[in-house]
Amino acid sequence: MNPLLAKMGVSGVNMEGKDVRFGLAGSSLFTVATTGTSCGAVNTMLDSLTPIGGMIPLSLILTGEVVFGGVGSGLYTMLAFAIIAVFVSGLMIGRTPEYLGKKIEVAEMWLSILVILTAGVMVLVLSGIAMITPSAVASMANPGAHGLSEVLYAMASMANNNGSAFAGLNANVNFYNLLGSLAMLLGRYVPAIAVLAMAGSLAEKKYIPPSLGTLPTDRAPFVVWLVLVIVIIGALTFFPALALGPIVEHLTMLGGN
Amino acid sequence: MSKHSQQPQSIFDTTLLKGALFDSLKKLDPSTLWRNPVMFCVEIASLITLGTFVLSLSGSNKEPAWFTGTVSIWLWLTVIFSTFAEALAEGRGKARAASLRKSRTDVTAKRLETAEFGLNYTTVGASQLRKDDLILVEANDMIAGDGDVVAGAALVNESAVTGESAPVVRESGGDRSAVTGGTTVIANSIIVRITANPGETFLDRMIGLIEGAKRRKTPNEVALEVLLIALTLVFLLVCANISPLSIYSVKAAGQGTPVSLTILVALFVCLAPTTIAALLPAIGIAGMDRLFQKNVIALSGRAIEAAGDVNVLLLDKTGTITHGNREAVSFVTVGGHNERELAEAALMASVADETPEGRSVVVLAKQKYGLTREVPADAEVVEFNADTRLSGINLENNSYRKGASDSTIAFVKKMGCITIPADLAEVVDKIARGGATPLVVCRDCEILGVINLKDIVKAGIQERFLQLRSMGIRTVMITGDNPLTAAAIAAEAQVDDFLAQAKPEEKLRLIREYQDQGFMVAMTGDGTNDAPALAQADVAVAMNTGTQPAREAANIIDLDSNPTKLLDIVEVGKQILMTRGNLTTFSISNDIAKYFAIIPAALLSIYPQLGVLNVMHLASPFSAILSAVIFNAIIIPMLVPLALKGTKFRPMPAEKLLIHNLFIYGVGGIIAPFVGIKIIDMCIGMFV
Repeated sequence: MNPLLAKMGVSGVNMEGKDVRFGLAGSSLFTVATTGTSCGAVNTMLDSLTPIGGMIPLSLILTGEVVFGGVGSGLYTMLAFAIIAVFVSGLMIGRTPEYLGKKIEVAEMWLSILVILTAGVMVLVLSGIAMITPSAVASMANPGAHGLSEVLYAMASMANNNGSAFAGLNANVNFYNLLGSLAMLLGRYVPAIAVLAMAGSLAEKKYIPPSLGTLPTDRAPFVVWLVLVIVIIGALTFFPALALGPIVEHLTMLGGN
Repeated sequence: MSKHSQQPQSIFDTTLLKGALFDSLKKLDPSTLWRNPVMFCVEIASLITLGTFVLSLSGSNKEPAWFTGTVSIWLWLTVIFSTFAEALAEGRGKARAASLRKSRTDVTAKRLETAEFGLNYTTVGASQLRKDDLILVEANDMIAGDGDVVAGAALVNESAVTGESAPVVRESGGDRSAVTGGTTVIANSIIVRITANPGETFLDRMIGLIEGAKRRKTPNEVALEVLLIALTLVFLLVCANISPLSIYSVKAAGQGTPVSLTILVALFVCLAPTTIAALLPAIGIAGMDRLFQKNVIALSGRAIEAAGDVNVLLLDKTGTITHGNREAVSFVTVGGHNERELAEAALMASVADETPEGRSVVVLAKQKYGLTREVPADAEVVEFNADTRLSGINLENNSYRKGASDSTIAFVKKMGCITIPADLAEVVDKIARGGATPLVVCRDCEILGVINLKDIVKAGIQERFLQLRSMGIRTVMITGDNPLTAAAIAAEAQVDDFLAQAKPEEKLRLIREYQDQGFMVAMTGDGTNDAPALAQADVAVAMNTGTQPAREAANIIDLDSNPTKLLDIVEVGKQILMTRGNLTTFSISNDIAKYFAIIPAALLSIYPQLGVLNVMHLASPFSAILSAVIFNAIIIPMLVPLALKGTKFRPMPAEKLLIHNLFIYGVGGIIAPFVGIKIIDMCIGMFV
């Protein structure tokens, strides 16, 4: 699998840091499920995953844990994405957008944007600061592209997950403790408050009965559109950072360097 | 009836283009451009690249000057294309406003103290007129301001406002009393009470609206702008984040150069939703303009967009669903009389009747039996009156009448008739149940039969309603008819519901009921008694021939006074939203390709492995970045025609429409830039 290990005569899948009882597939499933729900349980050393293997849980966090919904936050990020998707698709069919019978207006746009982007903004800002802060860089056990992935994961997890880090990163230094607590504070409470404010704003609105002109939000076309919105807004935001981290690491590994 | 002005202008009219070009440069002024925050950011980005270009000329920036220079030029073009689109949309309105303004110059008015003809007046300028002033307007005078006719009646040429050259009658009292400043009296004199101060008249408001001067952003537009600003901010952070990450990567990899400011700025502009942000103002202005081409004036952009959201349309039966007048379609005999005898009697009863119904009886008699009659010289014409509710004619030895069943029966009884044909009630009832009006005809004391007077439903109206239904819009017919007639016409026209024997308070109640259920209601009206309902409706279209209260209560005015326009207004409202939505989707979908163009190019020197992300096989990092920037810029003028004309509107259910638009603007928006950037890259390859 890993050309670097193959050179050393090691064959088979990457079992480093994995629970031998579950094997590769079981451990991967465990990782995705627990990270996607930010439940905090681990049976795998994420730092030892292959680069793309590590990128998957990282991406789950960066897109706002929309796949399962985080413990304690549930599907609110998904709802906020749905509101953004409803807004644009509502315009596309020529109606003031409505979701579940409620009109989506300026206030809902602001609030759902806060829900979706706060954590991502924290990751972008904090990882940027980290990469030019010597003490933050010094914490990496594996400088280079993998080290960059470690920092990205740490920041993402603190802003929007259980606050864990890849084992290779010593996060117990002042830098990560201080910025991390800021990330935890803003990354959690800003979306939570915003989503509560949105609930209040939506509850006050008149219910509009659905008609043929209303876009059904429980059918395939809307689902496809919602996925596209999540991929473009949620994931592409991190395309450059991921390119410099796990993607380049993966390409390097494949290149056998 | 001929139309002038208000003809749709070509988008590529040369004088318009020249004016727009000049205006687009004026609009670069940051103090006005900040109103479009995304483009304001692009302008700042352009300034930065201008700086890096100067630096590379002086040698303190390592990047080649041709690269930074070209990037800077294209970023500036991106901003200019955007302001150009807005200026072009405004230019079309301004040209129209200028022609309206001509009709407003230096009018003098003849002010009176009391509303009586033949008194002395003082001549004052139109600008000195205030609300409640009385003015005398004689033949060939221009009316100096908006007002109500309080005395007299006159023929008025309103072509300056409506583009309609046929003059209209304006008279005191009734529903035709409103006059508009800037129109001209052709014959007779009227006394007008001014209802608007200078600067607030209908014409002033119209000019302001068409010019876009007083255009306020609609709630939908603001919400979309929020999304665009948020995306812009995020992409700004994405680009800012690349810088430290690349600085670190250079150290770690031991090779390459950190991503330069020029490339970061270029990436930012490419990722920011510039396409939609650039065209957003033009879409709204062009929408108003399209309505104006249909001779409809929306008093706010909000009203047009609300029209796009309408769930319920209240339509007046007369003039909208049916042709205004009922027509005689058949003669039905009773009491064993023969049909020709009935037709003759009906003709005699109608020959002096100048109402459209009366004339249609004459026409039918001629068609069926070739009967023609002149009004006999000795005839005594009995016109319809509210007491007897009959009309007809008295000759020397016979008298003919036609009228409603009960009135005619009362008449023949008075004439001394004892027996009424037994089958009359049945025939009358049958016709009424069919939605038509039975007119019973009698000669002296003998009832001969019944004229079947039908409301003629306009051709093609059923399809129109079917389209509306497929868009989820309910149509409700409002009529003064009795429920039986109303039901029959409603069934024939295929409306969803009807309100029979509608009184103003009934209309108001119906609108409130629908609104309480969460529906948006649109209605048309022209009379003063429509004003409360118009004020209550979400979208209220007043006919320009309507009264001043009706026009004031409305938020859209139809200069042609054609009630079917409501359907066009709904269409334009939807088009505006759809154009915005589609271009937003297109703009965001474009980002995928731009990432694949710029990211490998920007990071290649650090990690050559990232070359595999260069899926388009662009020639060099410089040409890759340049291609993305150029694509991002030229897509704006390429989409200007779409923004001005609006997305083509097809009535279909919401989901089908979404699939259709997602396919074109979503999937198309992902693929188009891959193709476009590759082509531009190949073109650059020829020069570099």
